[in-house]
Amino acid sequence: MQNLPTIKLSELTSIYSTVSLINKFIHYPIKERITITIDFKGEFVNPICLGLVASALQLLKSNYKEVLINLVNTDSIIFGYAKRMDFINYCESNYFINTTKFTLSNNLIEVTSFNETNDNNVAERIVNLIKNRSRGVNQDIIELLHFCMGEIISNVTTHSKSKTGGLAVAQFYPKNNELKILVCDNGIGIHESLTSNDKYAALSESQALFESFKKGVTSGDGMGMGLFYTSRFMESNKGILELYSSNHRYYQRGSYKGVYPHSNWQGVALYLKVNTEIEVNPEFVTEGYTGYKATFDFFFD
Amino acid sequence: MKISFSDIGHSLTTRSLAKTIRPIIVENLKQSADKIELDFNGVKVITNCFADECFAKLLIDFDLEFIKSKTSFRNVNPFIQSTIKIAFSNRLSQSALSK
Repeated sequence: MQNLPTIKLSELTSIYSTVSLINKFIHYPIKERITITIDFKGEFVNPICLGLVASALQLLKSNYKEVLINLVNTDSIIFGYAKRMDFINYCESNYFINTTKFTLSNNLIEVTSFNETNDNNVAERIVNLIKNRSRGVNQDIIELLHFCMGEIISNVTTHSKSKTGGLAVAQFYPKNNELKILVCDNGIGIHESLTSNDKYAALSESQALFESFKKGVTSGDGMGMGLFYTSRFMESNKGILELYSSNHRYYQRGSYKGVYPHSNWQGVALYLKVNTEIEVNPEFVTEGYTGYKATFDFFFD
Repeated sequence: MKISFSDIGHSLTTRSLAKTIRPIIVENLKQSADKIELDFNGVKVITNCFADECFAKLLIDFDLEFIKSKTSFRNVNPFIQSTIKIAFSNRLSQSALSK
């Protein structure tokens, strides 16, 4: 039995540092049986980081014959929050889990697994976090957010080939007018997916990541619009988009975009910070869709 | 035949959902002489990938003129209308490029 270092949840403050920490676990020297200790001590944990750890636990459990997860400091505030977020279910440890149903805050979506049977519902639940709010949300962004979430979640179920499916978590922060969303998988990642298309076979990992945000760039099955629209949405919204895949990180803040080497993430982890009060121009995001009006009007009565 | 999309959902966003609907449309286009009515009353959002998988991929089995003559899109809001147009346009461009 191989013992891995303890994961102290309170020390996970950003997606950047959590991916780095998880990398050490995922690539630990292969043993058939491993033990992980998760320390819940503390008062605050970032829900996005909780989602990443849950996803990593799913991957470990699919890679090793036996994964024993020890939970410590289970009388803490973080543990209570982790229970409400359904994180404990991903631990599947011997710890007794109180099955009492918690009333979830209407500001968050718990750590939620999805596949092709419930992906449409997950996209809708995320959007509903900010729908019909009287304060702090520009309702004009709802349709575009819905549009982008559907595309992103579809990318997971269509392209990722993830053995563990996808995982999503989201929280709305009314004080800051921010919606933070994580959608991740443990699949083949963007480079392997994109280079399966002969047209992009020669791309390096960093090139593939950058190209995947351009219009019409696809592995073959789709139309290559999802990441393109999402990037335009974040540009118009002055939001943040981070995408981790294999050994690189795509970072976008407003119109600034860059690709950097980073610790490995198996599959794709995509994080969005949406400024819910900032108006978005749909014509900019969809690149002037009105130009198509005349061409296909015959479909519509 | 009429498909009321609001019976499926008020937001139709994923490719996997569309994959369950296209075979019904294809079957109807093959079997029935009547027009198929695609009613979006009550639907707020569809994505490009849904429109591609559900409608534009009909171009794999049928040509545009045939689809046009056998389908009628009803109660489509401007956003959904644009999305469907883009999906058809992109699928046609892709087919043209691959020829």
